[in-house]
Amino acid sequence: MKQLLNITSVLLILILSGCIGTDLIDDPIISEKLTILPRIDSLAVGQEQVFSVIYTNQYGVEEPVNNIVWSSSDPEKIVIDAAGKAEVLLPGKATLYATNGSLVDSIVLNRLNGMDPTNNPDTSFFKQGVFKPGGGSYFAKGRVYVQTIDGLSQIITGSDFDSSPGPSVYLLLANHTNGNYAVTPGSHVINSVSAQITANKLTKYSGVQTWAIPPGVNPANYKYVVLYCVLGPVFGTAELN
Amino acid sequence: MKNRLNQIAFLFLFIHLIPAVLASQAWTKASGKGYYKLDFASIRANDVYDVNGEVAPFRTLGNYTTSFYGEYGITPKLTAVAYIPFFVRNVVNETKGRQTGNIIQTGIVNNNFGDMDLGFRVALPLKAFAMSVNVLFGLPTGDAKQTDGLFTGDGEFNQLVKISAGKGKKRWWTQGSLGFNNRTRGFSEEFRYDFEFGYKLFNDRLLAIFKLNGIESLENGDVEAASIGLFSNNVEFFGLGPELLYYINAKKTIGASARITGALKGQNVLAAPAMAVGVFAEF
Repeated sequence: MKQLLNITSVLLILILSGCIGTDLIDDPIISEKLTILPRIDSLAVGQEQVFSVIYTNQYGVEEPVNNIVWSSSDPEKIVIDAAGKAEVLLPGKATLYATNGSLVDSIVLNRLNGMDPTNNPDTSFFKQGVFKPGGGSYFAKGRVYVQTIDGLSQIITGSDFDSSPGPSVYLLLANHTNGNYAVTPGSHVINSVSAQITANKLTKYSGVQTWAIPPGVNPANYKYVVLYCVLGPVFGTAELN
Repeated sequence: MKNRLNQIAFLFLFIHLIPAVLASQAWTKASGKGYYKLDFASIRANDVYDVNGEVAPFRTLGNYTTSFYGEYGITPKLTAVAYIPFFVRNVVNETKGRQTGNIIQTGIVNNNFGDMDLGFRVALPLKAFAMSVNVLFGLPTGDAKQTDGLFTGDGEFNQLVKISAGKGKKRWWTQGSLGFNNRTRGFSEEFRYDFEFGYKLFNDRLLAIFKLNGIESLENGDVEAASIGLFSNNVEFFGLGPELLYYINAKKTIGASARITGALKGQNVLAAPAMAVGVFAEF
């Protein structure tokens, strides 16, 4: 009887066996590819974007990849460096390419400035300038862009924008650089010689920033972008061309 | 994919067709005496005999059937027979990419009741050798609707009528059978045959048996009616292998068994040996 119990125990173990196993098979072969990320189609003028590349081998597995060559179809509109850091210079449309040997991926940026200029007849205004220090111990430098797209006007600083920090710095459009501007904290002030773009003082003093130009202000009527401190000094002025 | 699932569905039907647990088909039991067996059979294969009888690779399939088989002598000339596969486990392996390690196809499993066979054996009045008629009714008690095709039953009611003849001496016996399996629901009818030769060793406590069995399909099935698989009507198989039975106790009423059955040819069946172990009792 004991032998019978032992055999029955073996049978019970067998009954509970039969787990799902694993068959190893060759993965389906697919094409190696590069994929540029992020997959965006719009950037604002002056905006900086770092792109990266994912390489997937013939089995779809990500692997590290070196020696990526970046290029732009239109370097006048957007430039990209060897590290994949791109900056939009002009509105329009351009394509960025990432190349590694025979592998190429591209990303089409249809909406530089955030809109498709080819489908946007209101892309009627664009000017840019470079900040120059206003004198004294304060400074402002780097590129600045003023644009109107589809009725929306903006001021955008470039990635190279940098200025001294200050306690009450405002951004203005102006037609002179003599340092006499009307600034009212908390609201916009517009007159024939200057327009207060930022209702409140700046809190960030470098890099890409975008400000909406208040309704009623036609940027075409102004010649300068001014960084102005209500305490007196002009940090910098950029003449628009 | 659909065809592959159908093929899986079909392949598992084969499990039900293995008659290896059937015993002593030519002889009826004495009145009030019985033979009872708890059996565990398994097949695990990654090759199949395809529709043309060629061996082809496949996902690894496993079938593990735990069954009860019993014979009971109602009268000296009439024996009741029952085969009850009360736990059938069908398993299909997951597939993983060798290079990526990614799971390409998940594993599939179905645990269910199988198709029962109930019937009787009637001894024929011959003196030169034992002869009987076996009638078995295949009941569709298994799962014939599993979505992935891992059926544990064929979903049809079949009737198997088989003539068995056997002869034995003190140390040996032999028997053979030829039957016709009438299947319903569009499945092809079949001829089934088997043969065995057994020899008694060690004071009759060890029985060594050589068995062969096979199925030949008439291939007259209605394919459109075979909802579980395109090929499910045309199963063919020829296999052979040894079986050992050993009486554990001196009274020779309780024993253990082991057998292997390999397919020498097949059509739409697994190309791997079936192995089984069991315990049995006679009283």
